[in-house]
Amino acid sequence: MSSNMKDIKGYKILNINLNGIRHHVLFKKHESNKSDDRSIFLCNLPIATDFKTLKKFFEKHSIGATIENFTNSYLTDSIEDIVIDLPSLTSDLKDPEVNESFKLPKNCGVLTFIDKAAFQLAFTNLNKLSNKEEIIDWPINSNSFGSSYFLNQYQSQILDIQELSNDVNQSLIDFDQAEKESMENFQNQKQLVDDDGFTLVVGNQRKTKAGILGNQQQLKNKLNSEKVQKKEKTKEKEDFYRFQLRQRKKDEMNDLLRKFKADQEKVQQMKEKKRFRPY
Amino acid sequence: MGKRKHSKVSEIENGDVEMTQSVEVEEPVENGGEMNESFDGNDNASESESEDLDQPQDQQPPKPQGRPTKKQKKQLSAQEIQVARETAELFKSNIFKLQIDELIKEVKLKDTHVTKIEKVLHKLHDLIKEIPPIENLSLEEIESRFTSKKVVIPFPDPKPTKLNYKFSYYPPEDVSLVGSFGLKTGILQQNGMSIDMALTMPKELFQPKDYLNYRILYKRAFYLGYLAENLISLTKKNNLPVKITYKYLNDDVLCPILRLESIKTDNPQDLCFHKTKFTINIILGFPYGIFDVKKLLPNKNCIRIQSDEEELPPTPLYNASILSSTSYDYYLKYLYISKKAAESFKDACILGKIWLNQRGFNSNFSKGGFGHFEFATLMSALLHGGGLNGNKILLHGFSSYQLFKGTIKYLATMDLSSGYLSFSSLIGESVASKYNQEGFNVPTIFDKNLKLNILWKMTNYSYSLLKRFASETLVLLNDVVKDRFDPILLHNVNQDYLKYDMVLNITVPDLEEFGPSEKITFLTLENFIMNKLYVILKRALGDRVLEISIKVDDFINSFSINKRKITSQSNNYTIGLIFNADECEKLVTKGPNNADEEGGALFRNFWGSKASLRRFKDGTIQNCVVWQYQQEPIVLSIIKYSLDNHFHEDISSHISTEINTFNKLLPIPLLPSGSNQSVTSTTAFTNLKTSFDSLSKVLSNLTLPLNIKAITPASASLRYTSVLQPVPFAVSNPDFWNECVLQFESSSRWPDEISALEKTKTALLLKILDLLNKESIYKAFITQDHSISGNNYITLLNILTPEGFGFKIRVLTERDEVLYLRAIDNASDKQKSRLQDIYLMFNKKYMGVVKHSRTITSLTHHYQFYSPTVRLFKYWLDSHLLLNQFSEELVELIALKPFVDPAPYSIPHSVENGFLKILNFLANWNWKDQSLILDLVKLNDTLDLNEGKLLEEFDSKNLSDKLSIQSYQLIEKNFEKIRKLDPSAIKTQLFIGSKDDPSGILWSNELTLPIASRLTSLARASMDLINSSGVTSQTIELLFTPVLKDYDFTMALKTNKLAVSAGVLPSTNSFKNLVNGPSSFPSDLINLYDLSMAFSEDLNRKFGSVIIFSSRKFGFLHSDGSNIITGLFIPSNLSKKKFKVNFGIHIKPVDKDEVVINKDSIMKQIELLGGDLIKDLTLVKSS
Repeated sequence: MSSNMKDIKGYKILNINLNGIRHHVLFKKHESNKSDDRSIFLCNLPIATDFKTLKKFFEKHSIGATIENFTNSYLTDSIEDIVIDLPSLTSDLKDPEVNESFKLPKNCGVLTFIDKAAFQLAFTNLNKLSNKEEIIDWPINSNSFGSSYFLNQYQSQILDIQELSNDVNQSLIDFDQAEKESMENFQNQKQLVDDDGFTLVVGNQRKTKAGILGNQQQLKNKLNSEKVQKKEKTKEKEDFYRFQLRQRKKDEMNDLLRKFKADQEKVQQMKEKKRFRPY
Repeated sequence: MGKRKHSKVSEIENGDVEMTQSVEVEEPVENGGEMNESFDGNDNASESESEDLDQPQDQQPPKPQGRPTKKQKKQLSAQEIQVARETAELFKSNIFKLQIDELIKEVKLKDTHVTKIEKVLHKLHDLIKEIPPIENLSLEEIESRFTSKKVVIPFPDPKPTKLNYKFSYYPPEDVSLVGSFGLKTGILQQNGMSIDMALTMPKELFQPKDYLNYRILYKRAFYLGYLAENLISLTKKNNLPVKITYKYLNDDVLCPILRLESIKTDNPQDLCFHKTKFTINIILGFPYGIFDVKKLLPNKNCIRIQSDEEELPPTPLYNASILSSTSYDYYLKYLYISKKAAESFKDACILGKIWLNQRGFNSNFSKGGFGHFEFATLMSALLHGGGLNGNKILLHGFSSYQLFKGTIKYLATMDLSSGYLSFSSLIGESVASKYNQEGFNVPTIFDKNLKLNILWKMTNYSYSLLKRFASETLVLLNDVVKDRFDPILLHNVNQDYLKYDMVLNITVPDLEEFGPSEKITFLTLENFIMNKLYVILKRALGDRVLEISIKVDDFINSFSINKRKITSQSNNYTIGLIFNADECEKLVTKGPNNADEEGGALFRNFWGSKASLRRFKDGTIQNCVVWQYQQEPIVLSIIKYSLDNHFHEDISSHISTEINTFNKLLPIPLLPSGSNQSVTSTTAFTNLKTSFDSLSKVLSNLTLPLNIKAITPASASLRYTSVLQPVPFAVSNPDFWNECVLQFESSSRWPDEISALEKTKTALLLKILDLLNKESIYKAFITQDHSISGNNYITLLNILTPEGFGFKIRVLTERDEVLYLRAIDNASDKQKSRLQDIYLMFNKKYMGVVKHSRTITSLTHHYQFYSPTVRLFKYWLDSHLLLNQFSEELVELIALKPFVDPAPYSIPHSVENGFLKILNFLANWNWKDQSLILDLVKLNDTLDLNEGKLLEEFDSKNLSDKLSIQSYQLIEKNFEKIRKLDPSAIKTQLFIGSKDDPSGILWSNELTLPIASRLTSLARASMDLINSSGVTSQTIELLFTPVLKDYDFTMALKTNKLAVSAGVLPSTNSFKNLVNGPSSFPSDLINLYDLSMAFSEDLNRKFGSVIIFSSRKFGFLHSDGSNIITGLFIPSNLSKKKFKVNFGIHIKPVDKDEVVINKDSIMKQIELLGGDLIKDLTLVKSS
């Protein structure tokens, strides 16, 4: 790459030294309505970048710029390239998660400083470093990986029974709560009489709107497809008029002919692929 | 209006042209009458319908008034319909007929070649006429005249010494073209076609008793030598450059012929025909009817030797050889008459010839002794009868397909060995051919007129094999669901390693017993040895094998004209065996009852010291031989023992087979009986199943808020297909945890939102956990599960059983599917396809796998060799670092193909055979164009196919659980739909449909194009290797050696010695008895897990979008017991790209707004991540 590059598409480039290899972290000021101007958006971060890593980094290169928190992208350690929020897709009880990490692209993160001053300090220093094209050591802890790291991964899959049951209890209570609220809203709707003078009929089994509408839709489809057709069929006599018989025979013939033509075509195709070589 | 009319008239004219065309293609209408007695018998209904359709045709041309045009149009379509309908009836289906037409066109001899060769033949004919006669040479004169410098007389053994008769040459009585070229049924062949030219030696050369003691053969040998000598000089002089060699006609050592091969020269005057690839055989025949045929009956002796025995043994081969030499142009006439009488005879002959050719059969002794001539003669005979009462099997009006099928059916269902077919070749006399139930126990089609057994060159075993092929083909011909044209006629199925379950190579030392009386019976040492081997093996193996086939390796049948004969054939023989799955691995060979003294004595005599008396449960006492499993298949032990005792002492050390090399590749479980079990043993799996059953009983008895409805097994080990056999407490086995799917009684109270639903499931699992830990000896804990992307709320209940096995329980409710489907509905367009994938993941893990396990389990019980075969196949994939890229279920389905759909081969009965058939299938599977539709049924190959009725019954019975045409077409349509959207197979590669999964993509959805292509290319490379170098221990080793140079980098990981804790007997350990498996669970299971798995999963999460990582699932089974991980950068990601924030992988800027991926940095990060796990990281390709 050309060494004189300092920015790309509005991102500043920070050259870092990753255990002897040059890596490029891109950054810019984070622009978001919530961030009240004290956040930096970081892109192309190396693996295992977390609060600790960044804290170490800024302690060295920008003393005094205290970090409040670091939001890593949810996708960084996920096999997916887009966020799938199943709960909100399966029910309208759950609002789409407002989790910031869901919105960030892979290997990106948002660094928020304790106050504006800290941000200014850090941002200026980063810019300086970028402009100088200096290669800065990245505080990655190479000892934290390897077998112990993977052993931990296995370990973390085993859940603590007490924590788990607390968590389950709490979420089920929350869910019941949410469901109840939604139900009440819904019951209110039931009272409403719409323009045509209809009210919404609500069963007491499925308590969400999606559930009910889903069912109705299915029922309607089913009715349309099976019953109606069956009824129609039994009514109609298929061999009453002569033309019906004739038509049927004609259809049959055409069908046969069509198939014959299709077969011919198929064999022609096979022939083109030189399939008929027995040896 | 006028204009419109006009245009319609022109349409009709076009139509007329088309009409005549279609008539040409079709069967002539006059055959219609005969067709009513149609062979299939079920055509009557449709026949009358088509007659209805005929009517408009017969009407007078319509009057030129308003409507006729329409009518005429209809008439036209009726005609076309007739074509379409007829093909569907006379042939199996339209497509089958069209394919036959194409095939016959494809193998037709080129006209230019034929013209050329006719010129050659005419010239040759003229040259032969020029040969001067010579009279009354004595043997001595001949010997001095013909020396090894130029031409030697090809006298058959024994070489004549003193003769009291003289040799002469007079011009031949008749020169004619015989064989398939003469009959105009010749076709293109791989190694070029040979044209048979028969010269009939003149009568005056012979005396009535010349058929005795080789006399006529010596005379012919001289005639041939003299002919050769003269032709050499004549062809040279007359610009016909040919190379002349001796050859044995159909490998018959009594019948040498001249083989003329064109030599390429630069002289334009020369008549060269090397380009046509034709060779010319000059065959010498005797005049028809020169001897009393009764003297040459198969049971007569015509070679008088000195013998102590009162009666000399018959000389059937000698007799038949002489008889058939009198009949070359006689049979040509016979066949010609049939060809004239039956329109499609010629095409059917060609079909038969191709069919035989693909199965390695022809008229040669060494190729089974059943070829085009025998097929055509049989067909002729069947046109004149062939049934028990002489009723006609074939009718003259049959289509080529019907003639072919009828003949195949006859071969498949009528036993020509226990009974025989007699026919008369006398032209003009209509004597019905008849099947006689009392036969000679040799394959026989007997020509009453010539007193010749047409099948004289067949052996019992070649006949049996032919019959098997015919039966298999008949099943295919009866298949109404799939198009079976390819396996019937297009595939060459003549590879020993695919044809036979076990292939033995045996080197035979000199045998002393081959004396004069053996010689006159068997003619050659090779025939004698093969017969002896067959008799012993048949007796020793009995029901254990279905077919035994024996042949000489590298058989030679041509030799130089300055040699008298072929000096020596190879003394290596190949024995091919097809096993009977039910019997082959049985430990006891049962003999006659104790009461049968005579039989008992014979039995003991044959088995020697191994024979013993045993009392069975039902009280009978029987002679038995009990075998012990000694790390080789029982069949092999029996073969070795019986051949040592009856063929030649210590011959077993000259027997080699690779069947065991394959069997030994399967890891040996660390169990007390582990190293001494049969390859089909499933004891270890059964133990696991028992443990599962008792666990599910315990679980079902727990008192829970919701009762358990079912717990179903869903793991490879529980369906007998895991690479490692389950060994108790073997925690390091990657398949240690067996997933099961638990369903509660149905309830309407499941939450209608996915995270809450999963939490509810967890709550129930917690309840079970609590009860288990309190009330039972089971140990349990709960783990998180990430197998369904996006659903991070799933938990599994892990249970360790006191028997030493582990189970993971996941809960399925009736809500799940609804929710996943709803998510697809609610998703944005961007997410939709990913959510569909997620739904498939769910379907696989919770529903598909349950169905799959059920089906596979039942099939493994039926196909005994399926379980070890699929396990070896998985091991092979793992050797090539591919197993992790496929779902185990997909692998199992692929491996199932040779079992449930073996055509054109038979069902595999050995690991070697099954495994090679899988590779062969993969090497030839063009998944871009072809779907794989598996009919998951239990096929049987030991059915008694002798009874035609039984066969049909079998077909109709099986129809119920077989795929119906409708469901087959539905699956095929799914495939077409997918290919229409994705013609170059970018998204979907392998399509495997079955009744369990009509979508065809459930198990292959996650596959990627590079991986699918790699699988195919690896299989191709493997088959190429096997085809070029054969199945040897070296090639087998190569088959399992990975090619690491294809990757960008490889990482050798730190050795973790997990074999013992995975329950595998380490291959390096020589003291097998000293290794003990674990006998209890360790305090911390995790310490025994394979960390390389976690490493490669993490790599996939972090860099999976640009690198394809491959690693082994069973690292400890390979080489030094450590795993490797390889990486391949996906090429399309390596180029410069515009910078985007959501690039998803580490990049470096190169230009104003362009970036490339930062390979160095990625490699560094991988290295960091691996840390102490990595032993060695090698970059293979420089970037």
